[in-house]
Amino acid sequence: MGKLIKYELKKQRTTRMVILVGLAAGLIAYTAGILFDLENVMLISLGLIAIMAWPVLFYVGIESIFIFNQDLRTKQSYMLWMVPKSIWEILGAKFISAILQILIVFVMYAAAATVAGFVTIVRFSDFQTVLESFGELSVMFRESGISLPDMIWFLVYVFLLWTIAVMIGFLAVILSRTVLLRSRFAGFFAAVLFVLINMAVGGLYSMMMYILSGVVDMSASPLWNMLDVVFYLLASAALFGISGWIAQRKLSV
Amino acid sequence: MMLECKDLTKWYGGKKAVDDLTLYLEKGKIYGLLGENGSGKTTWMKMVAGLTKPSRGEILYEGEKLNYRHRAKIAYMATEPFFYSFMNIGDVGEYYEDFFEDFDGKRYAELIVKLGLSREMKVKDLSSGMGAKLKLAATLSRKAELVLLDEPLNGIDYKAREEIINLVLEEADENNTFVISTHLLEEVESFVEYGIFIRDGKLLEKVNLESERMKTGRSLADIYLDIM
Amino acid sequence: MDYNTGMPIYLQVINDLKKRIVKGELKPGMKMPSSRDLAVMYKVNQNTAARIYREMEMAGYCYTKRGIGTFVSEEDNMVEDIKKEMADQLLSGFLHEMADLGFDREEIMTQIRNYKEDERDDA
Repeated sequence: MGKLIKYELKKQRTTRMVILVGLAAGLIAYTAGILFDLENVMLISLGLIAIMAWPVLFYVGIESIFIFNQDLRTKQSYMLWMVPKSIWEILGAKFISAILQILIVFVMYAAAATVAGFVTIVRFSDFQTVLESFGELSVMFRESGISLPDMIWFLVYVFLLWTIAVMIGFLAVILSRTVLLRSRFAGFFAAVLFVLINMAVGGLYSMMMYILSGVVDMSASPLWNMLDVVFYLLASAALFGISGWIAQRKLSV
Repeated sequence: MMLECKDLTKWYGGKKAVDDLTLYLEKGKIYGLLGENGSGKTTWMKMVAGLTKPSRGEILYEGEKLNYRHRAKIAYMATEPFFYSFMNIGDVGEYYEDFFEDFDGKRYAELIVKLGLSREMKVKDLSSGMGAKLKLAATLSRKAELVLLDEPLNGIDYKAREEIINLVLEEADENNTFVISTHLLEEVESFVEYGIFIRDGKLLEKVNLESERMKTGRSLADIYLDIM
Repeated sequence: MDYNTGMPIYLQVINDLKKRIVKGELKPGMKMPSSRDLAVMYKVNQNTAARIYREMEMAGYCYTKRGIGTFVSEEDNMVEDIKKEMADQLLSGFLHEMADLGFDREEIMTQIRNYKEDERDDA
């Protein structure tokens, strides 16, 4: 599976390069702004980096679905289906590569933030102020009532929700391409299916909650959290299973 | 029996691309898959290669239901270019090396030179003729048990055709089976052992060419015209 | 090699090999190409190549040393025999065709003589 991942990561290389160049350009502008006391340039570049982070994150999150759709739209899907790898490995590799891509982009952003911070410190050589602002930040954090476990739960939730979205995306693409093959409408149909399957999973979730709330009293929040986690894990696994099952039996690439 | 296709049917929309086709292939033979464009040759090959799923019927490879593991032993060359567009010719070799145990990197390097290609060329910049040569170089550098070549001589200049036929003849022995689809009958006449004639997705006949020449004095072209 | 595609390929290759023995391109005791090389040389598959050697061996034109290869037979008169046999074959075909056109032996002889003279005229 490692080799499959290697080539999935190569498919995502362009995206990484674009992000890298964008970040580098932003950083250069920011550094220039700081060095030459151009406050506007400094603020705008910093603002752009921050604002662009959201669409970038969003795109990187679902890029693997687009790539999968593109594989199947072109004959490049032969590259995956002609090698002696099971559908589980192929889909698994795509999922893991998606995680890796997000991590890589995260690291790039973290590096950019570090560089920006470093430049700022060097320029103003005023460690005191910088340290103080760090201190203020952590106080704000504490006062806002966000604890470390909360943060971890939040990350777990984000990861699970993202996982289920990717799994729904894979299933939508497989279903669409199974029925429509290389038709021009297959991409659009996959998007429609994505929304529909999402609604179905959401409906399932509400139904489960409704039934369970009538059966057991679980006002204690950790239990609810656990239940969510279990639901999302099971749903993701089920979607993965259905995707592979259909792809194995019906999908013609 | 190396490959058994039993009652294979493939629907595309409302059309049967392959229609109730039963066909057995033996080890150590070269088969010519012959028929008009759209007669179902490519669909059949893609089903055997595991890319397309039959609507009905079954495929057995050495008695076992066809599955993804068999792709380690089956080499399929599609008519269209299918390599990742970010690759250069060296990358294609690396990909085959990564996934196919029967791939011979040294042979690939030789074939690349022989066919006038070089490792640095980008896949997406290749002319259709060079693309066809690259597909062949990659496919024939595998020592696969079953080699399926879909229109391997299309778009290839005369000199390279001879090269490619020589490659096939060097490789084809008692341990493997070649299926070559083509409509260039004259090019394959002398070395194809069986002609598999397909029309409208149906198997019309499987003919041993040498015995046919012996019995009726008909050439491949004669038989083609008689059957089709 | 250009084949007559209405005739078994293996017979045509055997014929060509026999011709090469007669011409001395393949000498008695000489190693013949491996089946693989023969296949490429004559654009035939390896089953046909193997069959060619099998048939030639049965006819006594060559013999196989296990694990070493196939060699042109060293029997006395083999070359002469092949020459005679091939000539007979050609003649028989020729005579049949001519008979079909209504020529008798005598007329055919004349034709041959005249043909030669024509050739001389050309030269």
